[in-house]
Amino acid sequence: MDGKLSDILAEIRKTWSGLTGGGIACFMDGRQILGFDRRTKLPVEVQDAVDQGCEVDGYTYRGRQWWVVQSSAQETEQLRFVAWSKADEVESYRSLLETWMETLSFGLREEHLGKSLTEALVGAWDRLSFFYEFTHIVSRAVDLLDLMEAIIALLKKVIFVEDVFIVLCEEGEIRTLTASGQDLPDADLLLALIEDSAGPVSKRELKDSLVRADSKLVDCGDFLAARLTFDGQTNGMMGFIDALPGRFTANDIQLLASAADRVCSIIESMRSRMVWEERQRIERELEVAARIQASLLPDELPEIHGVDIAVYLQPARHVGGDIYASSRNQDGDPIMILADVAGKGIPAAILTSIVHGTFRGHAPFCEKPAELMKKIGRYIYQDLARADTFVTAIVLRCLQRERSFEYASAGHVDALLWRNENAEVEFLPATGIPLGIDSRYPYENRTVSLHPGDLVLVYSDGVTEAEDPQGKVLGLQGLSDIIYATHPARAVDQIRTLISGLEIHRQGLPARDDVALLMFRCIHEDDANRTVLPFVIDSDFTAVRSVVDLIRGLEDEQFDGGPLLDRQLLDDFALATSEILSNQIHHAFEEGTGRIEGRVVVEDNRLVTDLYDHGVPIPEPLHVSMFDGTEPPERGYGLMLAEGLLDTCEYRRIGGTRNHWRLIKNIHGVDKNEN
Amino acid sequence: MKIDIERPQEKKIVVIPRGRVDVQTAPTLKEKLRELVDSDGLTIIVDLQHVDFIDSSGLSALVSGLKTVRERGGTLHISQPQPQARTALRLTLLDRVFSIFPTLDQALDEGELQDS
Repeated sequence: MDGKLSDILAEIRKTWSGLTGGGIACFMDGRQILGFDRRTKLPVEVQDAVDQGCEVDGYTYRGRQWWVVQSSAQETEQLRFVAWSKADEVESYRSLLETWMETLSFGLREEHLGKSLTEALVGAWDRLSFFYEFTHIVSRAVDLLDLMEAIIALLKKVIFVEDVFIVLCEEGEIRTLTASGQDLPDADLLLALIEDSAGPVSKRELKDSLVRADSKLVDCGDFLAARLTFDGQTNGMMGFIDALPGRFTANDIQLLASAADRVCSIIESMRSRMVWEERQRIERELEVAARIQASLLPDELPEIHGVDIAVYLQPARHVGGDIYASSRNQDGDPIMILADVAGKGIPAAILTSIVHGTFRGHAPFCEKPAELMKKIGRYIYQDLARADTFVTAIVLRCLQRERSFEYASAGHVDALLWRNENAEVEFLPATGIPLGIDSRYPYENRTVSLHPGDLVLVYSDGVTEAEDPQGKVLGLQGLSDIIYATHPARAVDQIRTLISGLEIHRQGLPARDDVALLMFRCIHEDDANRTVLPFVIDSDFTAVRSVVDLIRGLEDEQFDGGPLLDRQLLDDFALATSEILSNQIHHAFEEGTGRIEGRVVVEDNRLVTDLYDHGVPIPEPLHVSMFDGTEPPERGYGLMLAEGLLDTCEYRRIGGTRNHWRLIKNIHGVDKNEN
Repeated sequence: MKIDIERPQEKKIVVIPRGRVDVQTAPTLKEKLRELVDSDGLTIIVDLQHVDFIDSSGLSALVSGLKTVRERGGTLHISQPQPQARTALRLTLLDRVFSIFPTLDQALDEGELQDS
């Protein structure tokens, strides 16, 4: 055997062993020309595979994967590789093995064109080392363009041509990389000409088209170009240019085709990796941003004598455009802001930080909300103008001594004021335009007096504009309905119920907008003597259980100085409540579904459930079953049970739109007729 | 709710629901009772020992079962109702309709001792 050939094959073995830690054997016409230690024999299965002439196959032998790669390019000069390594590595190098195979066998074919076998193989070796280095470059690359440049430099090293180029199209832009650093003339034309070609195309094949287009490429000696197809379409090309006409041989065409294939698969895998990494990076940054934004929400709400206060913020995405902050004004009065930056996500979140910082910075030097709003508006005007957005905000100042509060609202949605005395909702309109429209807008203050049990709810439009699957918004009406049932509860419990009401309204749809809620409520003297558990449920029989559980769960609750709630009492009350709820669902929502709001109130001497719905009115008088104990009807025991278990079971229609049930169970030892 | 069925004697079937018999689960009990009445003269005993909550839908299911079994010359008794079920049966006057036994054995023997 030729000394040069055995050197090359020895290099192949060294390279393979360096890459995979495994071994390799090469056979030509059935003769082993490279490989194994002479004492080693191929496993029978592998030998069989070689004998059967399989092209590529894998076997496991003694815990290792064996690959048989056999050339099918030529019938007379059969060449085979048998390579092995640890199973998880060999698969990734399989294509390298195939490329060696192709190149070697191609070198052998070239021999028929008049070159000696040795020369062909020496030429082939340059290409083999190209692919070896190629593999190494790819494994180290982090940037696509760097990688393309490295590939160009490598190609330039193994093929003696004037220039090597890679052209990539991205979003309509053509980017050309060349080994020489010089531009490739008429790259777009060339790309268009080879767009549908099967393999590399030379100048000779395109000459007529180039002449017609009066292209500068006509002046070059020769070129060879192969298209790069990835993401399902031709997105670039690569090739060689040389001054010598007719410079490129079949061997070069083979090399370019292999290299182009390889470049395409690298670009695809690299891009998917980069997209994934980019997503991961954004995800990580968003998590950090969400933590930062969450930390802006003060853990401690302002302590205001006689006022119960709660707040809730939930961005629709990681970070949001709604913000709440609190501070003290120059007189030491608590002052709060709830703002909603138009838009969502990161741009909105950045602006909320500016609003937050501005509020914190100016609040201690202002007296009234309107004054502070003016300052904030003036300060952030430029930022908002640059971002082409606006902010709605409401600033509130609590006047503890006068039992009142002042507010200024920059185009914010109407705040809701629950008047306890007459059980009515009032709305607090904006006192000016949104921030970011007029830097000198004169905002006005409005003062609102409060009475015990009164409640103020400030919220963002993500609450009232929450949509159900039919596109119906919760609206001010829905919000008021919930407050109607929840209002005597602690602010934190009311907020929690509002959130579940929103979720029920959305019926499983994700929130499309940020949600912010700020509630403060004037403490009522009765608060000390009662525990209020508000709830909102879907008008669905399965939801009845949650209310039953709420009532039965009271057995485990400890009420300071409250009544002793025994199991029997709670079971009776839960049963009565569930019967009325089932009745309500059955009658009020015969067609379609609705929402039932309610509350369970534990007082010193009684249990009370109030239930509200907007369904059709219950026909009066209530029909309690006339069953006398002889022939039992199959239905109609519900009201009988409720009447029998309760001390009071009242129904009324409120305002022609709303059903209200009041259920009362006196606690043992208390006069049954006392309500 | 889980329902166990036992057949300790010929023509006697013990139905043992467990958990809540309410608006959600009562239809299952009703259907089960209907299925079991496949011959004449059966005695079905619904043992309520493991039912900690029954509502009017549950009571309706029992009444429905009673009617079904009666149509074929059988009867339906109740055994071991817990306090909550006892109250529900009393308030709806259904304790006058069903024979209610404090133990399952008594129900099986159809003893004279009735618990109201």
